[in-house]
Amino acid sequence: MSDRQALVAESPGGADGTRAPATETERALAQIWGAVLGLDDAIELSDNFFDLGGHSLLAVETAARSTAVFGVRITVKAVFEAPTVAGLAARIDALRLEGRCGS
Amino acid sequence: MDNPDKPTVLVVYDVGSTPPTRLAEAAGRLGCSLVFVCSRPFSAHVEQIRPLLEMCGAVVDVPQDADAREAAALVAPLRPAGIVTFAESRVGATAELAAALGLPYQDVADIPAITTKAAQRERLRDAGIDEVRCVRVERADQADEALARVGLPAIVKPDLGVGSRSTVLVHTAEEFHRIIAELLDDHEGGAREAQVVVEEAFVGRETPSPWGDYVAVDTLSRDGVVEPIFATGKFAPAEPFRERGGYGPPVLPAAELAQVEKLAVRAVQALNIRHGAADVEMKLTPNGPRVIEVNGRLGGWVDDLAVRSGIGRLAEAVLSQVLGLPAVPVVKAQRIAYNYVAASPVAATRVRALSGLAKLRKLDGVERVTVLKRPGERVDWRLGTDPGSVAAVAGVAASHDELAALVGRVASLDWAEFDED
Repeated sequence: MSDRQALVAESPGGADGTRAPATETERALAQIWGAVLGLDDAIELSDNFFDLGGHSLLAVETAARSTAVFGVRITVKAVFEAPTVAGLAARIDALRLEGRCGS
Repeated sequence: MDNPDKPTVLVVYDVGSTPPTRLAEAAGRLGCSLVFVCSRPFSAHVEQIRPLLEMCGAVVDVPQDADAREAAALVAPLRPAGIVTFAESRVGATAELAAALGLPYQDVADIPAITTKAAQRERLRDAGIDEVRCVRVERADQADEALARVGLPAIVKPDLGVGSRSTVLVHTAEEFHRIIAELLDDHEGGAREAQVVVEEAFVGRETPSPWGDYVAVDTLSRDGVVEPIFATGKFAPAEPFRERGGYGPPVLPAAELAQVEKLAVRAVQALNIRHGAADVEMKLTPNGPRVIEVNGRLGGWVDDLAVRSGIGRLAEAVLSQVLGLPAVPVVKAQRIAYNYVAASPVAATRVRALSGLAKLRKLDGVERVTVLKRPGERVDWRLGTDPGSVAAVAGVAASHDELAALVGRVASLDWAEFDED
């Protein structure tokens, strides 16, 4: 199990087995999703962007906002390939780490 | 890298198209590449969605003021195997580009009848399909004469129409003059429409809620052979005329379904739509179906409804026709798919909260809820579908009864709170 997977596995779970965003990246990403999707209810780690009402244009907006907030280039393709908070946050963390290592 | 031998399909792209991701999926299955052709100045939609177009295929920008011959010179080196559009506003440009490239598409001479309402009415009348009182109005001072010829109730809509933009049902002369003035009179920013058509409003047959008294049939033409591929039922609009989406297959007795399919095919043949998809909206009247309008492209939600109902992939069917491949199979529906637009209450002016969204999402039969108005945003029931809608809900149901119960629950708006000024 990678550090990242371990972190997800250790995130506090809700009574119904759901998990709330726990890391800084996950929380910030959930906030972006909330704003883009117009949601004021809690977004969980395993929520799928498209099941929450996301569509092509909103995916483009999410990619642009994420790029601005996290300081790494998040493509719209990444949103389609990793459509959960957990999945996209992991990609963002990996890109940030890559950026730090590469600089 | 992409296989250079793959056939290339040009998709003349703009707002209202089937989503590029769905087109890319279909292209992948058919083994072709997509090139999205976008004309400058780009619409706001094209500006926004461009990163997605680049993800789904290549993009060619056509410079402002380039004519079809110049646009053809830009794309000819790609050796396109076919051309199509899924956007109403690009049907004419697609025909011109196809002609310049020598690719099969609708004849340029047929474009006015396919894309403008008054010419379309004339063509349908000449073909003996339907005679509807219809007058084109360019200036507000022509309104009295138009009203005298058409009578009330009447429909006022843009001659070059995209979706239900500016389409209004009027019952009184006062209402009629106000709407004509709003659409045609020069005010700040100029007139909203260059010209409108005024036509008699059809009176629909008795139809129990939540079903609407109009339907759409999409057709696919292959070298002039027209076949119906999908029928969409419509939900009854919210007051005053806010569209509430569609579902399919529709609640229609087999004989009535056969009637609407036959009428749709005749209308498409009359307009000489010889290649690709067309979407025919029809009113269900006590005397049988009547054509509301024909659009020369696949209906907006039709591919999504067809996929989710298990009927087949219609975007793929259209692309396969463009490539001259065998027809993609369309089978009997396994369930009823729907896209329902929840309308705001008449008295509401602003969305206060959407606190019940999570519960709404968990209802059996709800697959996706897209928020259209976020908390704090204004809603206005008078301004039509877009400004007066709160959310779009999509999903599937096992029966029409189940679907009626489900949309009743969504329409109750017990998941949303509103302010009233």
